[in-house]
Amino acid sequence: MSATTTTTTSGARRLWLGTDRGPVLSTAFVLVAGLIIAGGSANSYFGSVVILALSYAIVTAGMAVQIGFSQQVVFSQSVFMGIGAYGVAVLNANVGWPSLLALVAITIASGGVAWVIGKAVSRASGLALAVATLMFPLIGFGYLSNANWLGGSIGFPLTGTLWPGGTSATANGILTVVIVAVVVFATTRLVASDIGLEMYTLGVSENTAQAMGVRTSRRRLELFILGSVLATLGGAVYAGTQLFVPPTLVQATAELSLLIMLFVGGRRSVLGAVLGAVGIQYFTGISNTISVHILLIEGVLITVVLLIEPDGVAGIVSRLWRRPGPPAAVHRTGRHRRGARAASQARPG
Amino acid sequence: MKLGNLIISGIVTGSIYASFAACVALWYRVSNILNLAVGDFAMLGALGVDNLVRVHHWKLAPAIAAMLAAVAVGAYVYDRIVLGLAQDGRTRQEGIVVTFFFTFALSFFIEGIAELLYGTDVHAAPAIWSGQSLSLGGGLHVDRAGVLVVAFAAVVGVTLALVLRGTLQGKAIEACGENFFGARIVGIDNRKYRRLLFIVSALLACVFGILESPITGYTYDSGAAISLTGFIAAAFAGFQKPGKAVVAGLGIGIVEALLGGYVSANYADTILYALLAAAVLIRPGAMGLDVVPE
Repeated sequence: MSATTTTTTSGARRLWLGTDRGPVLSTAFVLVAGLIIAGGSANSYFGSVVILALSYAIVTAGMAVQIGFSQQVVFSQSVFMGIGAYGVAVLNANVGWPSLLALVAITIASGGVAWVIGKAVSRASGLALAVATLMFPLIGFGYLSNANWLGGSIGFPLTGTLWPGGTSATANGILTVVIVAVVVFATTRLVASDIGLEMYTLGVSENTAQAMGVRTSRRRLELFILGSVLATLGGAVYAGTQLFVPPTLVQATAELSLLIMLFVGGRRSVLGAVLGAVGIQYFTGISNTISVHILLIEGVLITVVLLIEPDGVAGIVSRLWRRPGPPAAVHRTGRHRRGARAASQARPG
Repeated sequence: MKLGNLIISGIVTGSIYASFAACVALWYRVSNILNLAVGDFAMLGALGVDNLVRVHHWKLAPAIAAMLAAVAVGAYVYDRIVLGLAQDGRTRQEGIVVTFFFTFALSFFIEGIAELLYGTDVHAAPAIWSGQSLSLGGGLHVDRAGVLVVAFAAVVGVTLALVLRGTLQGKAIEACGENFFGARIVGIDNRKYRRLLFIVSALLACVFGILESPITGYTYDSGAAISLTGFIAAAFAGFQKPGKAVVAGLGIGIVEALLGGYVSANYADTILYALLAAAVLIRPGAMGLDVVPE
């Protein structure tokens, strides 16, 4: 192989994989752990709960980028999840499309819908953005629970699973794991890129981002589309694996549950958000006591997380993993220690 | 006649939204946190009083007093422990996440407690002013509970306006909202006002729940919808002006009643939320919320 070819290949590899190994390691972890569970116990109750949780994990991965990393708080994910789920259900049951084809079509179409809505929504920022989107789940649930052609307050059944022509839970599980792995790779890679840096700056300070030349409105629109498309994909996977879509999927409480999965797992970490979704859904499904007292537990959990470690379980793990030594050399002499103490005492609060 | 009755019904509902919106806006001024649990305090008041009277056979007045005391203590403890740790420590938590999620979590917690204590059935506190609905002439009627709600809302609104505009404490509350550190530098104890207003808004919500529940009835999760509508009304005042929030709350109540009466009973709330969302999206700047120029 010539030197030029080697340089080009390594350049392309860097462009694709980035400079850190985070995206590859996260994806590999999801793929290996997911395939072991989906391949080994997809037919068991445990496996079915994990597969259900993975459809939520697709949504929370997008939320980690949009809400956690870029701090664009929106409350529209459950609605787009509903668009994905009901879209696949209608195309499958009424039009006769295979669920997988319907998933692809609805996910692409949702990009267009998100662009149209996002053009209006992304004019607002901060509190206005949150307020504008807060009403979406209320509108969506109000409509769906009265729309008889979509099953009204009962819901809408599907006839075909995600895996074409088959009823195998294992095949559906493996396909779901692969979709989650692709989403994890794409989002972690995005976060690690230059665009990710712009998005992070946007979240820290809108004015700083503008001063640095970031086109904030455009980035907000892109984030809205990304979060919405991934929520639609999550909803489509939900429909294809559960074969039934209830209107409660769109409810405001469903939106809050997604946020709790994000916060508990770690809002600034894609892998944390995925594990948060799996963990919360797993514990809710596996224990009757937890599912009965879920409101109480979620309320306490999110308060404790916000107080102790706002970056959730991922933040705790990350802190333990790195385990820094003395914070800095400045603390090593008595003079510096006294200086640091005086500075901390002078801090307001 | 139908229009008149719908407007009366809208004014009653709107009074509740208006009062909750004022509570949300007032507390936001001081703490920069949105109280999304305000409706849950109303639910606690209604279901708690019902439980004490119906199940434990208490008299109405001691039951109301006990619930108000319990809510006040609960709000005080929450502020001391949770908000104290989040806001009064060396690293003060700020930003949009704190603005929303602490009270979201509190709302979940209160609903969980209520589900555990009072079950999932619809209940209501006994009517304080019982009897047939009052006739206003010309075929117009109003529930006695509705009269109490509107009267209490008017008293609360006027009192808040007088306190904010005419007292030193009112000026201090406004200063807290303008600049947290600036207010502290001139000697205003933000923490005291944050705690005081949190307890006051929880108590007001509790009283509204007790007064209003004979009209609609409450379940453990009724509070979220009221909080949300109050929150949206407060949003139309940019979360800063309690007076404007009251007007927005009343307007939302009346529009909701008219939609239910003339357009569709099933889709009244859906259409209302769609109209509100459209208003936010068309002119976010008009509400005093953040709009970033490009």
